[in-house]
Amino acid sequence: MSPEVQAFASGFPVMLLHAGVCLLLLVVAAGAYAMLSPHHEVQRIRDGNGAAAVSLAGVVLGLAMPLATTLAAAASPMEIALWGIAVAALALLLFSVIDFALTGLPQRMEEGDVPAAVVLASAKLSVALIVAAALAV
Amino acid sequence: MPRLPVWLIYLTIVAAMLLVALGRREHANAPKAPPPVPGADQAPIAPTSPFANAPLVRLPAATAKGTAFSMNDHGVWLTAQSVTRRCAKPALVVADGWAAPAKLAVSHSDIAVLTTGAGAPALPLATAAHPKSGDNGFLAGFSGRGPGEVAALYLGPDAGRDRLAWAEIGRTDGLKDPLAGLAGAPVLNAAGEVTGMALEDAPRRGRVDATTREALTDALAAAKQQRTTPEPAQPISLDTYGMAADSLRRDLSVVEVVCLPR
Repeated sequence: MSPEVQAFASGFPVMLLHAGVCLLLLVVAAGAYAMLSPHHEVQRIRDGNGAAAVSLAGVVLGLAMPLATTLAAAASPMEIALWGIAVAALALLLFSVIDFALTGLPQRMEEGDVPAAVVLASAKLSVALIVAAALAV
Repeated sequence: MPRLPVWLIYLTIVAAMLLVALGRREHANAPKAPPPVPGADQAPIAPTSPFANAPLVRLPAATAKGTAFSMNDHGVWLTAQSVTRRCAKPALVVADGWAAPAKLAVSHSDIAVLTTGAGAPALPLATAAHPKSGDNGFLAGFSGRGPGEVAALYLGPDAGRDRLAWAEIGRTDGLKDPLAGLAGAPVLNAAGEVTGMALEDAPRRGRVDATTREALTDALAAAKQQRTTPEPAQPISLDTYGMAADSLRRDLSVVEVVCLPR
């Protein structure tokens, strides 16, 4: 068997496991946000609110960034899970702080103001980038 | 029933994880190393030292760069490639204030092979290719501000790189700085054998990256250098790794690498 095939045979199942743990964390964290958010983005999206879609997209991307860095640097599924839970909770906490600091923007997003939602999403993505960089080895 | 503010829920989770992290942190620290024996201008090192008859240079304002360890009793050393980068004149500190000039034989991947005119007792290589998850590892070397050692647990292969990741669980008392000086330090297993070489630490992730054992033998082969048959290693534990590291430094099997001014 060629070394390339051997490396694929031993690495592919591990890659699937690690990526699966990380994707599960992303789904759980995004689901928790959607359930707990006082802005009820999912319902607003169903009602055709484009600003809510922009805002929720910012949150999901903002969760994926530090989780992806966790995955890139982790050595085991346990490490992915531990760091993933911690950084997802930290990112969600920081997103709440941004909502509080940018007073008025979340309310305008609820009313369908797309520019307000873009600013809100940008702030969350910026914070997520910094958290992701802090995790890089 | 009033609903909890959402930020309070996230803050509680983050605070709980922080408390768990602080509560479960191991503190398997080692006592400080004894002070070095001062060298005199005329008699820098003991006559029994392997470097007693080797050409030595007085250390002026040399820059401490890292750690190296012996692989051959006749003067073959391994250190991290980062230690010799941008250093035209590397040297190994073999007595307080005195160093043996070293030649860079080859840089191979993360590793640099150095040679000197005299050598110190070689360290044995581990028989197992890879440590097992949870195995203890011990780094013995120099922190950049003096002797230092670290105790660690093996995490696993570092994703995407041909390196091994170790989780730090203890270090020399009072050693607070990043572990830059430990680059090039041997990672010893519980049997006292070299299972890799420390490369860099990642304090935000609580880990130290190291080479594999194979990378060390590959670097020696690239430099066309042989290992000598070492003395049997002494077992090391969390209680004894400080003393074991002192012993290796005293025997000059583990030395500090400095960069001499041009």
